[in-house]
Amino acid sequence: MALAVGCLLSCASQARAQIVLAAPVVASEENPNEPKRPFTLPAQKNEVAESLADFRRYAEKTTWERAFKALEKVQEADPNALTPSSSDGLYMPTRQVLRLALAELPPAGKQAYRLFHDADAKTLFSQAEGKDETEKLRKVFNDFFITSVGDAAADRLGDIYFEQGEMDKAAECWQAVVKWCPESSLPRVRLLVKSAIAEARGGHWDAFDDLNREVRQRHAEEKVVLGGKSLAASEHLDAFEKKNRPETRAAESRQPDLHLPVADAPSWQFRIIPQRDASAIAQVGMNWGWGMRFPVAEMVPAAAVDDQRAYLNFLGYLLAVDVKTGKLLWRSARFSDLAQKVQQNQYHYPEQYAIVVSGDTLWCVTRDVGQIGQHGQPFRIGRWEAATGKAGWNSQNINDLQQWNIMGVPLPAGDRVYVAAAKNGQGAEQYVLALQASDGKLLWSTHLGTHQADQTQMWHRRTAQPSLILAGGRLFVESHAGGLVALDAASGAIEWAFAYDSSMPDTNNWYNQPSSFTTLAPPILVGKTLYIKGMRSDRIYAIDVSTPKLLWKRPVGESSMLVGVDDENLYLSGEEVLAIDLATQKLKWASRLPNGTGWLKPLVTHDRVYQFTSRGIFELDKRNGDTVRLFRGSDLDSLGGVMLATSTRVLTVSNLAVTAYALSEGAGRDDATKSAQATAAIGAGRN
Amino acid sequence: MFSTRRRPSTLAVCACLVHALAWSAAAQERAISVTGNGEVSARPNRLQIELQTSGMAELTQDAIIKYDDALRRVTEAFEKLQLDQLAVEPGDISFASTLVNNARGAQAKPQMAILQSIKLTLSQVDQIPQKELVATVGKLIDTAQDAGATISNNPVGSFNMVNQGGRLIVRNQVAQPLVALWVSDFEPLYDQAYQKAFEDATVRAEKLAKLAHKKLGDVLSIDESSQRVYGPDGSAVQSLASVRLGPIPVRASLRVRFALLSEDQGE
Repeated sequence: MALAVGCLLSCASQARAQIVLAAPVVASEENPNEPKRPFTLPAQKNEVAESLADFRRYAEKTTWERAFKALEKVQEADPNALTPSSSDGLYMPTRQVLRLALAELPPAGKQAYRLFHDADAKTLFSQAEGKDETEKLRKVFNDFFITSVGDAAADRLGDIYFEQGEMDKAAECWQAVVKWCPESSLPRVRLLVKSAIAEARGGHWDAFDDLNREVRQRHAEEKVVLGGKSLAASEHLDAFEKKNRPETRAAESRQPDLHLPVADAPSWQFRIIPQRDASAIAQVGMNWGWGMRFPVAEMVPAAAVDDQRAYLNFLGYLLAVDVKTGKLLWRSARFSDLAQKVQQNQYHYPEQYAIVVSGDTLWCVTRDVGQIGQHGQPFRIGRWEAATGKAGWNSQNINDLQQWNIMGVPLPAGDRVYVAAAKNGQGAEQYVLALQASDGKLLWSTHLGTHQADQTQMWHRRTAQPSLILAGGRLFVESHAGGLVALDAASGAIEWAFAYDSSMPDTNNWYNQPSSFTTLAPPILVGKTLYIKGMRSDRIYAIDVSTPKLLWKRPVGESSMLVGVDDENLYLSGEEVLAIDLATQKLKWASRLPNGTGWLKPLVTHDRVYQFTSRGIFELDKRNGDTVRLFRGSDLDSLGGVMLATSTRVLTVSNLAVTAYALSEGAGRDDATKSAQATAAIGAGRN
Repeated sequence: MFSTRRRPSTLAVCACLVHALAWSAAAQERAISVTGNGEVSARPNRLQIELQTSGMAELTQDAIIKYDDALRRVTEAFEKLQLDQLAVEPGDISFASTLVNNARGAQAKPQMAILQSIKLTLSQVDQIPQKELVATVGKLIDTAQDAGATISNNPVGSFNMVNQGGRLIVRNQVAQPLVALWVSDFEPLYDQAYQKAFEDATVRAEKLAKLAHKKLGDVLSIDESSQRVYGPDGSAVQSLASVRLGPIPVRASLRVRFALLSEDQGE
């Protein structure tokens, strides 16, 4: 995009009032109708989707026998593999799609289905005892849900899953009866209460709220029998919530604004590397003879901050700086030879280094500094003591984790840490892992999909490092390559997925290849709405994650990144800062800022957007995008980069330095920066 | 570009030639041709910077909003400077459509771009002390860049610039000037240059005639041997402009043919 604009701008001075039309691009000869996707979800084979389509077509014609025959292929398929549930990119597990297809049949269709399958279903249900109980109930629930015993099978299966701790599956069973079996004799309120408790136990408090609301509105006076006790439904849920619901932090969109200092002078500045080394790193693509700029040329080191220290993961060298004084507190090693190491090889993947601080622990994705730029060397995850830099466990030393090349920014949550990964030598296959925080034990791994391009071969482009967010017991993994996957955080089971438009990364490299302006930011979840913008996508999407359902999508520049959402607008940054009206999805304003690095991390507060550029920190008014103030600061030799905040400081992290500025006295400063810190510390210019 | 009033007209030259042809061949031999050069210089009194703003998006409506916002921000930024001598004039608008096709095998997506040139003119710069002028130019360039405008003379986008250790390096490009300096009323300068050129030719001719023991007669013809004006870097420019802050020279060159008379002739 930057190149295109540059070209247009340079042409414009010569050509007045011209209209230029580039030649149309011929679609791929391999498959002109369905271009290859850069990321394919672990979906069923096409024949399953085709059988479903046949089923719907025959059902529409009320040719039931043919319709149910077509469904047999779907019933034989893996019930957990994904199947398109709609034409807008959403995928659901096949078992759910199948159940939905049956449940949506008209009364005549359901009657016909029972005629064909009721006897089989009853037999299976009666045989559901002992060791085969779960399997047979599951078969009835998945394949014969609309038969006369479907609701009873679902209820019993839900109880079994609940006892086994599989809360998502239990809730799925009970809610299926509530939603699709209005004629069921099972007490509706009991199903709702059980379902609400299962959702809450699974961490899905948003779903709990919905169910609790329904109980209060429609069954307020009714009682349920649970564990042999008769209880008032609504009171029981309220008491359960009071006892079990964890505290939640304030919404990010309500952060008060930062008060930048009057003078440009910093509180302190920590020079990461000497200028000569920065120049050497910036030229590494030239020195290798490619005549191009490698990602390492404009990288901003991974950074995190808490109220005491700022932390950097600079290509595997870890260090901590005192936030008050700027003094170096500890470092993993001296890095005087860093520039030399960078110049020796070209597989740097600077975007794969990550650092997160969580309480007293630092979580880092890194690789041995002796392997900087070496092809095929995996990245590891490990934990360090934030105060001292003392190393804890490292995936390099854990048998189950040695095969994994760790990717993205780790997501610590309670006694777990979630992280994306690919197996060594299989850079195209994307996984997500759940690890036990205390010892690194692998709890589960789930295959999320397949990249068209092996990410370990893209040394000349920023690779797609997945973003992870956790909300309501659900883990969302954004591949940044065209696929988003929602999983049950407890079990790792895929709940649904979304395939979105994304460009195929250019895996070819040639001499003097121009660099592209690429940004990356994690999705933003506000209530039930998840906003996603993949790093190579020219679309932004809003998804209702409770259904799930695509709410809207709109075009945006491919180089843009999500930076914030408030009650009215969604904010994007990159080559320009944009505000998009949430209600109408129309562009409200655009503000072009100086470009330096694409490794940006702006801060969004109550009324402002702050962006650290090569010309200083721009403070923009969220109402109209006007520059309220341009704070030059003291890092004007740099390309700009990341902004972090503590309760007393605002920090900028560039390719050259970490610079701290004291926040001026102002109302609500502490509250503002606590929230801003929570947003900013998740990764430096990465996720 | 030059008025016939100020320069020897073609008609006049032709008349001289006809007159000369009417003379005998002997008369032609009694003539001398010399070239005279004249140069004057002047300080530029006007400074110009060409800017570009643009709005580009897949949706034309988005491109229009981006274009409007960009133009407004640039205009307002210069208004806030409150410089009396500064004029901000929106120039030509260009519309361009391009197909962005980053995805292999994917449908290319058209992008609409609206490009707007803006001319900044700072007048009476010859009356501003040099130090102050340099500061003002710096302020204009900073304001343009901070407001998101592109300075047209910059042949590369800012993304291609690498600022390493405070040294600005433009990859594979020689840095281009950003500012043009002009002399607004330059025609009187040409008059002066021609006058000087003619005087120079006369002095030369007199010297040569004296060597030949002759004296100068009437002017038989005048040829304008060069109409080019040279900038301070030695290259020809089309008008009185410079990229450097300093006196701009105006040079004229005339070839003059005088009749040669015997020392006793005409006395």
